[in-house]
Amino acid sequence: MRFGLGPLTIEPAGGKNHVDVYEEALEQAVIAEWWGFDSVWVGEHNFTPDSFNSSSSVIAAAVAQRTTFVRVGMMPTLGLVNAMYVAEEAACVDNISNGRVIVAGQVASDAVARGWGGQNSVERIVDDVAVLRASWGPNPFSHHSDFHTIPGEIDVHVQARGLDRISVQPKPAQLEMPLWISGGATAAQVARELNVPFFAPAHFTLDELRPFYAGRDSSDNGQIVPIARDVFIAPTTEQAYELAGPAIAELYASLSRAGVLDHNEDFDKLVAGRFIIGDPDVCITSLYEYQNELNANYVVARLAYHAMHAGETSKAIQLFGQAVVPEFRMFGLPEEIRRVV
Amino acid sequence: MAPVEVGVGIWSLQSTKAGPRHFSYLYRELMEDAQFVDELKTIKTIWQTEHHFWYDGYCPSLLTVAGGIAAATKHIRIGQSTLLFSEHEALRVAHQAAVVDQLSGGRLDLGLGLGYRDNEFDGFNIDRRTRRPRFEEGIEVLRRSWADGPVNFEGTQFTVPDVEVTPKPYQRDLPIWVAAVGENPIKRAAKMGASIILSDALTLDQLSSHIELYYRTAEELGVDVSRAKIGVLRRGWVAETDEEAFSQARPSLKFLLREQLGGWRYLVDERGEPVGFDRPAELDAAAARLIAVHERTIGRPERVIRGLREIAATGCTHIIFGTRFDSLPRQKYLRSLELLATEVIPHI
Repeated sequence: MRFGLGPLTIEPAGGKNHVDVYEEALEQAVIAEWWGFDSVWVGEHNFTPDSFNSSSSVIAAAVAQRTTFVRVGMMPTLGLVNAMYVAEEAACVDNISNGRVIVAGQVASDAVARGWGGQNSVERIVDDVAVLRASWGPNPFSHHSDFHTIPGEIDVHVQARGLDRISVQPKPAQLEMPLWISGGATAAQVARELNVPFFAPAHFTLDELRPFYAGRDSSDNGQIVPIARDVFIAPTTEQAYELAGPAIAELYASLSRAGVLDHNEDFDKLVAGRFIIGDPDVCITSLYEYQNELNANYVVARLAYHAMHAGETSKAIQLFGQAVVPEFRMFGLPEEIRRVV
Repeated sequence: MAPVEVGVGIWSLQSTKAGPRHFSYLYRELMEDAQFVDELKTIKTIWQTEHHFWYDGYCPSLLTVAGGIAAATKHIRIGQSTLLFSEHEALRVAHQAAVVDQLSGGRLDLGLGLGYRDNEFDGFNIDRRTRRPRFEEGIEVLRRSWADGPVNFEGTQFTVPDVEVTPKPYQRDLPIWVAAVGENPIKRAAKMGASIILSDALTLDQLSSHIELYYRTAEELGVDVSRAKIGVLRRGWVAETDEEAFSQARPSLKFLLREQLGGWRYLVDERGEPVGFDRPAELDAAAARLIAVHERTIGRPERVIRGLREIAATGCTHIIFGTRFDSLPRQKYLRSLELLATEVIPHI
């Protein structure tokens, strides 16, 4: 199993301003890299009353600059604008990071799609992905569909006349940009059609996730089956709840105000089947459940909540890296060594 | 007169035919350069430049890359000379600029231009004839996006319903600079009260008259431009001696003007008509005229100080010192920046 940190939400909370939380997010990315995480993920949400980060590509570039080894998870919302913009931005971040980008395209909510005059249908997202792939590929291309006309054929464009293909520049550093799709039922359907990893957001319960992940078998073909979870870890479960409970509750209240969730339940109800909060044993047990039930083999753990003191987050990232990650990544870890930490 | 500010640029991240590089190398070098000039303190701004679908990978996504620059630096301002605004979706620029500004703690100078290459508009399926209304409506979308409350905009190019852009920029009044090439664009910029970036193709006399036109127009229209800045792009290079500076910079400057700008029909003949590769003799002449202009800011520190003072005397308040030439040795490049920061800027 592999592990990422995030998706980072980066909203001002806990009396911090935006400048504070952006810097905090970059520092957390570096800490995750130090403690052996595989990736750091930057989310994006538009039009949120609590001012979540609204541009994944800008902050992905910042994470790419600050880190050296971790992959940079970029989560642009697809279907809102011409996919060429997303293709260019991702290629730039891939070069800043020397080939470390994973793109997880998000499917917009109805409200966000309406705000942009965009679409969130399966057809549109599939079409955007086709444009992304053609843009990142080595050949000049053209693409004509219900949603894109590339290149445009506009009579007055004298210089461009007769050029029936286009080449997006620069090309990504990677030969093939890893592409996942994130969101709800539409995203799951798109991922199935495209045969790419479906990446569930953290707010779905295990029960809600089962149909989305049905048939995704990672056991023998090397397929990535990613999942995002809200996680917090401390030496004891009581401490974990005490430290992170209010911060996670505040995050979910914000997500609810933003329309990302259609419910705002009591914290106790939210926890069930959704959050992984506890000591290392609790976290390990819970992650085995996701591994067994969904075949998940790539866990992106949020761990970072801006309503908390950043120092507590740093400790949690370290503890997760030392006490949980080895359980899943170090196959054959001798029991004598396991007991050391 | 307030002391003139000096910025450096313009970073394009090109892997050119003469100097092919891995793009990751170019982007890493940009971040290292940004840290280098950030620590020099006297350089006010680092400027980026944009094109799309150009054969050498000319950087297309300035605000995304600005996120990396912001993460690499602490003090320096980050500007675009320019982001080709009419080729973008204004609402996307509004979001990304706000995020860069927050990330950098208020260090963004958003420089906007119209864009002019047909092929670039084609890539986004935008009719080039709409570039002016796209620009003007786009500015309105930016302003409403950054003000408190929802946007609500309905134009011929952009429609943004009842949504509120968050986060807002860090700077309450995020500076917008507009590329003003020619008299009408200067008048439009003055009407907006925007800071301007004047072309690198102008002589000193032309600069003076353009700047005078800007202030006169603002006064006639009653627009307060007291806080607006007058920027100009000038190519330049500093070395220990004039001979060294010329031998290092001149061939690259000639290539830049003749092949690069020539390829975009950016240069003009003596009648002001654009010239391209189809008129090689006129293109050579136009490039030669510009080399004479830019040579005044190439040389040992004393010579460059004189050249920059001449520009400041035209009323310009921010000089974008264009040091990015193709294929120059890196150590000499960093030395040029260091001399600029320590031996030139403090003495203008």
